[in-house]
Amino acid sequence: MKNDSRDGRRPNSERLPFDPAREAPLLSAYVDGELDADQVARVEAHLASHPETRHEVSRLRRLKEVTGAMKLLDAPDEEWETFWNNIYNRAERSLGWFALTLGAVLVGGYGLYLAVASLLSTSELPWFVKGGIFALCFGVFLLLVSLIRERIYVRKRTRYDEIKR
Amino acid sequence: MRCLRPSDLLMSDNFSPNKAASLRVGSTSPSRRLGDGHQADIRDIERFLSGDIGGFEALVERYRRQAYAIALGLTGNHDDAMDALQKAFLRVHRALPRFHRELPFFPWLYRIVRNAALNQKRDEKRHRGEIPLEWVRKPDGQPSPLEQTVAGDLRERLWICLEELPLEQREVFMLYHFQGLKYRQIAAALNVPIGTVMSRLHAARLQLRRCLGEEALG
Repeated sequence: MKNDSRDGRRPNSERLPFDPAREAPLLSAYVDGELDADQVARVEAHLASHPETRHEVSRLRRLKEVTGAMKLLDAPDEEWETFWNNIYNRAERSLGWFALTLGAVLVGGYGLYLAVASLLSTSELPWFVKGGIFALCFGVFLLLVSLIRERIYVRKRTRYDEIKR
Repeated sequence: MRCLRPSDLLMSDNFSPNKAASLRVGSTSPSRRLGDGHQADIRDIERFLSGDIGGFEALVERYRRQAYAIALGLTGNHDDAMDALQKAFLRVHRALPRFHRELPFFPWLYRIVRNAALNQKRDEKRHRGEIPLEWVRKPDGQPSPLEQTVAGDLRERLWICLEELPLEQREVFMLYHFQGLKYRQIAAALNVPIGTVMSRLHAARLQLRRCLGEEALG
């Protein structure tokens, strides 16, 4: 971009006229003071000869005044006083749930293995009952593996994927 | 735990545009922090990585109010915002060793809080307004009863209109108006071009204006 003047603005002859139909967002940016000198000059040149755009700018200013007079409430002070306790409690519970789940899987899995081995070794059971028990255990095992795989997949691939590390 | 009605998340301050600069959440502007605070952030992150939990706590203390405002804006109620905030900071705690220290901290934090808040909103369908609420105002500059009525009505309408905005417009609007960020800072936080920020904010304003009605804007 060629800037010949001292204030960083291009000469009028080089400047494209502002097009309110295509470049309407520039009006918001103008109200917010977010345009560079060249863009300000383009918008102001347009405003000088277009009262309807001036009216639009004044409406945007009014909206900004109203929304600028509102704010999101802060949390109550007592919430902040317990904030750290809540974080540490949540961390402890998270660790607790992990340990509980791991223990349940290990102990439950071992118990299930013993029970199934004991049942299958009983010769008086009909063959279809043994088959049913085997299918049941295989299904539980498959569901468990599927659940673990999904958890690992979700942890790796979603929710926080777009975060730049 | 106390619950706030969605419309009470917005507080009018007698419609004085001169006060707008003082109406941001927290006492420290995030725009200033992004410029000046990077070294402090890095110092605290390095403290944490060297085994001093105080570094993490200092980071949380510095950003928690802004993070709360982000979560509040996206979840729409205090309890969900607090839950999301705690989950987000736990996530920060786990992910901090992988944070690229040459990048600003706030955009990274913003994305974590944003995701936690959106997940929270999706997972928790809380009933709002069941708990009695209180009117929260600053002790100074009490408005007249009429002003209070008008302010309360407009505040409620504005919140309803904000909730109707598409997410991408809503978050740009909130980052600009309630967090006090500049366009380039919003662009960095959302990882989009400045032109996108500009067009989303403008679209949000046009929709808000339609939703509020011209008469509400005087």
